[in-house]
Amino acid sequence: MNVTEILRRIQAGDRHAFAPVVTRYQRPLFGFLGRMGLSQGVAEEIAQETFLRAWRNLGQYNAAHGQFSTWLYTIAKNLALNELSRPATMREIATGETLPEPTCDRPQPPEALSLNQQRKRLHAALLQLPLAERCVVALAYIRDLEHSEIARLENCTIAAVKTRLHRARGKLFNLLENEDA
Amino acid sequence: MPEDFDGLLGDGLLAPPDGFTHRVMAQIAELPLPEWRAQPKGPGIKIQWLAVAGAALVGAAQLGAFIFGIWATTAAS
Repeated sequence: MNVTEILRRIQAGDRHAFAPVVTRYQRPLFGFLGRMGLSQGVAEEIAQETFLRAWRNLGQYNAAHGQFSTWLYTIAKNLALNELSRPATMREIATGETLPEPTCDRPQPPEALSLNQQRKRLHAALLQLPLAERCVVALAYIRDLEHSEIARLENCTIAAVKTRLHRARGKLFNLLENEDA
Repeated sequence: MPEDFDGLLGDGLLAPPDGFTHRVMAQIAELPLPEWRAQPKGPGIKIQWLAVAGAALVGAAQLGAFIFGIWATTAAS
């Protein structure tokens, strides 16, 4: 996907040129929001708002200052952090209301049930991580982002990103292992 | 990571609903086109380089004057 070409087309008045951007980034964006501990409903609102804000501020994006994906994830990260600091969301997290639910009510095959259980356990373990560590884990699993870009997003050094990620993964591993024991 | 949690973390705990692109594009259709801010280009950078070159010239002139001063003092004594 050539972002420069897409921006040129939008500048010329072609709104539809933005659709490939939404298609390209929606899956990693939902993945990121899920790892941040948000529910499906809230993630949908935030993902939508991310694209709408990106659209409104497209004119301010400067390729010389970083990749388009980094810019987009910065918007998503700020929105997610705002949402997570809201008392209502904090309450939902504390009561386990954000845990992922099966996508349909019909009886599910055992594999799907097991996968769903794993999802719930992982989601619950992620929620026990401090926000700064959860954020690094959430960003680190986006395939587009390199450690240097995560460092830029987190306003820290690459070494700090690696340390935080190592620590967070260790904690996550322990949380899941302890649950197994 | 136990079992395949690493893969699960990578694939994401959540997925976009069907028709998400369509929903976003429908909202965008109602928004005005983004305003494009003029990006700072060549002239700004050129002025910066001119300032650096000017400062370097002033510095070189001061250094030259200092060396000439030392030479003049030693030559007179």
